[in-house]
Amino acid sequence: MMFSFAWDSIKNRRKSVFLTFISLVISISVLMSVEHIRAQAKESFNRTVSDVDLIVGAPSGQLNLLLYSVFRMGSPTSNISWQSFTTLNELEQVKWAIPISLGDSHRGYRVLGTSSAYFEHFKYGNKQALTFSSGQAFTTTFETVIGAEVAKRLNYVVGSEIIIAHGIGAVSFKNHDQSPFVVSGILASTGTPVDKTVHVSLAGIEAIHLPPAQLRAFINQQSSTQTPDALKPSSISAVMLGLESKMSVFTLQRSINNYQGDRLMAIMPGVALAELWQLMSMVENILIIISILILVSSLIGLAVMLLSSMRERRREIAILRVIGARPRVLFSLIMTEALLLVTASIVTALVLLNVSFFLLGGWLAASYGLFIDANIYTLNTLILSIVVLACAGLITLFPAIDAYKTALHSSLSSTG
Amino acid sequence: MDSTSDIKSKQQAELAIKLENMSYKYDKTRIKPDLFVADWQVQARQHVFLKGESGSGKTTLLNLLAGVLVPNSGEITLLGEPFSQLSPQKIDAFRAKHIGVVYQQFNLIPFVSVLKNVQLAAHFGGTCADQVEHILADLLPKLALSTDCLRQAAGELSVGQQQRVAIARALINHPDILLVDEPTSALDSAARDAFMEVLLALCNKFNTTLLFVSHDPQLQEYFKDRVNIAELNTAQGDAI
Repeated sequence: MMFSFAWDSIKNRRKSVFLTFISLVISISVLMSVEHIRAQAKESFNRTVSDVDLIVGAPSGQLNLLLYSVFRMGSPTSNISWQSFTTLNELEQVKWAIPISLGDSHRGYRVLGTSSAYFEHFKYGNKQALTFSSGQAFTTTFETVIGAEVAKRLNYVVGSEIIIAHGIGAVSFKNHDQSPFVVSGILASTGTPVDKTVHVSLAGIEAIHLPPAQLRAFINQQSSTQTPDALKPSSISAVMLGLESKMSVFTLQRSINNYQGDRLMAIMPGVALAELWQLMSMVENILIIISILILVSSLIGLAVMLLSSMRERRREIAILRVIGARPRVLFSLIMTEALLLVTASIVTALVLLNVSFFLLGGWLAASYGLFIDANIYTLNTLILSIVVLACAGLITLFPAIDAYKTALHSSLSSTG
Repeated sequence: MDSTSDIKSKQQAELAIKLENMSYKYDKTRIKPDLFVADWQVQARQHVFLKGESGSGKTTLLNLLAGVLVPNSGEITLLGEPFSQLSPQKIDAFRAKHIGVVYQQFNLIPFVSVLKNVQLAAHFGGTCADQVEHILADLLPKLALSTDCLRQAAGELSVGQQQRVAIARALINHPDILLVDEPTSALDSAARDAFMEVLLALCNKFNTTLLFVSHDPQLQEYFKDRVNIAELNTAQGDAI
């Protein structure tokens, strides 16, 4: 009964209520979307690499190594020798090793030289393996496997011929014209930097760096049967290691760092990821503070709206008193009204966000590489909604206490 | 001060309203009360016309009888209950159940329907909401209102219609006491006469004690029992 009365009362003051509602929807949407994007960014960040126990590269910072090996950002300061890779690969604690060689690009997308171990052992997300949406892994020197985004943006299909340039700019002066690669496979979308990578064999990387005359000679000779490992690289950028036992991570890390044969550094991707995320937490905190301030200001707006309505509601309160409503009822009437309004705002904001993330998801992924899940109904959102409701309840105490006092002192005077 | 009728048999009937040495002052720091009633009784089912000029304290008296104001000293006994001694919650419950009030104007919440207005009163008075429409179907024709107006917002009705709906609302819980404050001041004389007849007929039908407050001497023709507030209020000096 009082619930439907609260609804009628809201409808009666629909203009001011509507404006308050809009301001609440906006602020709740901002808060929820910031929170959602933050959570999603963190998740997509943490899902870039999985099941890799150690990343080994030339000594620099652990962030630098993580950035170029996993995120394909920046470039390696120096390389490690091929001999080190074979040594690592043959260690008994090591289950598998993926060599990584960076430094070239194709139309703005990074080229990664690796071995077939990459497609077998590299995992992302929750230990998900790479899968091919079409084609297969490279088998010859001049075959390449491209990520989902590369294929989509550049309209490549299996069988397309691509040119790989030296250097990492989108436009390069020194195109390796003579060494066209053929797309042998396209990876399924992962939501990680893998989507933006062009993968070739290590021999392919070596081949494009040969002097033109040698390269031509190589291409002619290669027309016969030839395996991708034919051109042995002298050095690579980094190695990703999977271990037989997780227990040996620390000891192996220490012994790699102390290795005398080459200058090596081993990092644990999880630790490095956490450190990287720490760097971003500043931005994250500023965003959260801003959205909390917006929410607070619109909750105050709600309280002001209710307080200022108290004057015009004196009569309504007096009438309710006369027909037997206790002051407590009037208190809960204001509470019900505010919580009804905030609940409606939360629901509207959620639907709005759900729809906009659904509609804008493709654009965000394409332009910013942000993979935002349109499903915002998570535990996090639920907790946030409850917190918002609780704050609204708290701030509505002011007008509700006002109504209670008005009710206590309202008398039957006919002017109401 | 006793305004009981002179019929002997009625003197045995139970009292609806009893005031003993009741005083009330708006400003507690003042020594003299604004309203003081030494002894006043109203029998059950009696219809009393309470006459008084504006500012004579009649609205204050109604507020006290409705339990919205509490006397500073003395006692108000309603239907045998020590009304002025009850806790605020019990007073509110008692009012909802036993007392109906009709004002000069602004009786209804304008933005909700007529039906909802009455249902709210029923809700607080403990009458089942399902029964409301049934009771109203019986009551509205007697008040010369069509049942079509039930779905209308109360604010859309004319003042006369609103006053009659206010009576229906005041009677929905079959109150024992009906307090009416200048209900006809916004009505023309023809409407006023119709209103008075309906009011008295309904009070008789429901065995309701009626306390009718007005400054209009013309209306006292409808009542056998008349009390002048100026005689009732023996507070020294200026009353409210």
